[in-house]
Amino acid sequence: MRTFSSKRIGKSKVIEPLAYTKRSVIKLVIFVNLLFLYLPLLVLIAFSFNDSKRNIVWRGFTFKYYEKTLKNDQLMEALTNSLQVALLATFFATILGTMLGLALQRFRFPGKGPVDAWAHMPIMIPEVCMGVSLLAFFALVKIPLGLFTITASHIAFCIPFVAIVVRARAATIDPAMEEASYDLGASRIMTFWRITLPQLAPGIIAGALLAFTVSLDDFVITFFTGGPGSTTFPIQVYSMIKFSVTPEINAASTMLIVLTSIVIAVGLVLHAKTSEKDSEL
Amino acid sequence: MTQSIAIKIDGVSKRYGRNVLAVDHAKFDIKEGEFFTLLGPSGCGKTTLMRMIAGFETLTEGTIEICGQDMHGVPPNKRPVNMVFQSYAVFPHMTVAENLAYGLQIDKLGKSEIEKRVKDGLEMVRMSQFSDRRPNQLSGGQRQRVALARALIKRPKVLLLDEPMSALDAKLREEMQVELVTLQHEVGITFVVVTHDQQEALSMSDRVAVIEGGVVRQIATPSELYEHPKSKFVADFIGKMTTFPGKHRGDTNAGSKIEIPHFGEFQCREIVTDSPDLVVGIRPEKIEVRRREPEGDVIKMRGKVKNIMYCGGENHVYVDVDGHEIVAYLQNETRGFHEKFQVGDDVWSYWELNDVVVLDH
Repeated sequence: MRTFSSKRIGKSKVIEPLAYTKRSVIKLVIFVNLLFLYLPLLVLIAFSFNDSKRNIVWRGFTFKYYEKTLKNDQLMEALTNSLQVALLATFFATILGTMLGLALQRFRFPGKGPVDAWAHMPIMIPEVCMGVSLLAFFALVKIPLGLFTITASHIAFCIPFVAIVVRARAATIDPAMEEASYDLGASRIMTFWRITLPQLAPGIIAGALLAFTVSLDDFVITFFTGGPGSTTFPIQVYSMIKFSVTPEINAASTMLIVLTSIVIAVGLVLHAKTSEKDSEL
Repeated sequence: MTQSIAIKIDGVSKRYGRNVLAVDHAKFDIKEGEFFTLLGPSGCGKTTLMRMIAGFETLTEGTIEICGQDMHGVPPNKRPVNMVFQSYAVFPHMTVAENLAYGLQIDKLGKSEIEKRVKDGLEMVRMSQFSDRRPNQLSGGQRQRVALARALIKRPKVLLLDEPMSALDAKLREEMQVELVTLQHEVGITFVVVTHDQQEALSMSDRVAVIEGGVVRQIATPSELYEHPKSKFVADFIGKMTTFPGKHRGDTNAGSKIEIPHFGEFQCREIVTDSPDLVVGIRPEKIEVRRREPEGDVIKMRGKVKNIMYCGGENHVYVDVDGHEIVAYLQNETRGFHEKFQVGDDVWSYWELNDVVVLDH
């Protein structure tokens, strides 16, 4: 029979009761989870460097599919379209979303409840529904489908993402800040530019980055609202896959992963910086 | 010397919705150069009153004049007052110097003038070495100084301070109280302070307005307020007081005759009252306690020691007199002025006639 003598306790490493991440079982679970999430991506990235057309067996390292991708006019045009849509959608959604987020956080106005609920619908309702309804709407008002309709749709569904982030940020700002500025002689507009906006900035930037990534990789809504000549990157990738999965697609996808990773990294760095700055306030 | 009036509050009321009357017909003047305190429990309307002076709240009734000018319709950024907020509201994205310069930049002062005033302002609150710091690198007391300097270098007619000490710990609080009074003497600006801390109000102010339930109960100097509170509320809110129900038994040449049922009659300084029912009060440090029956012209009551609270510098002795509780604060000294008591001791508690305060109910 084993006894729990003091000797044994002395030998085994003592783990604090709440230090869950130090337990080996939990470490294993975390590792398996991460593997499940990231293995497909790692495989995809690895095979983008594979010197083989079939993409099944490793045949050696090469950059040639990146070259091919960059020379693929269709794919490059789709990427340009995507970036154009994402940048425009981010720009407008950020302005409108900031206004919405600030209004919902700061003011009471008639019909605030319904506005609050409806404004966040695009996040909750299935994308298919959103896509169909937008398609029906554009058909009704007779706007030809193309980059314009895609951009308009992206602005619409990006607004709530920005609004949520900005609103959360606005809630952390002491209302007395604005009063103090007003009290010191500033007008309301000056107070907004010099006091509110700088303090809101980290939220606005985070919201914009979120909107950018959401817009960049949107497939369903773009698929419904797009027309001839307005193929975006995800849609182009999808149509290429229908023929065969070539390393070219892997290379293109890897480039997209790198791009979004950079955007997210920038966001995280900014967030870390500002939360460090605010930590004591 | 006649002092001119800095703020004239005339019949000011504030109503929220139908039922909430936050401020009820406040009417008083604040003199120029005065250190004036609005004192009351939380929710009594003192902050609302201050925010009305600053311009953040509208008036339901009445007028507020600042330096002879009616403030009706004048927005906060156009009023000759500045405010130090409870949370200090120091702008986190600016350095200390930038915080101070902000209000001056808005006034479009020249660059050299701004620099000079910021420098003077920092010196005034002894923060010169922190001019390039960000607010998150400052302690609570330092942030308060920044907020103070930021408001003062605008050279307002009146400085409003909303609970200026509430975010500070006890030790720092006392230091800042002294500092604030010194500062006020230096700059000579009228200070209006909102606080719920009676000790703070007594130690700093020239005059105090005690507010309860939106109504100004009494305005007086700290000593007048403490020695001669008008109502039971003021007496209880400022310090502690043992009270008895009393009866007004007419006036004589020497003053008014008051009867405390079961304890006898005594004379006090003349009082004005409508009803014969009133309240007689006595401050705990004015009460003596001893075993032997006191002689001479004092009010004395026989009772039993019910409780003794040791409070460091003094002992709070609770004496039970026929169901009435009398509280006496006895100095905790070792020179033998006071006897030592134990719970259950039979004692006499007594006090001078002059120390009795008569309150209207």
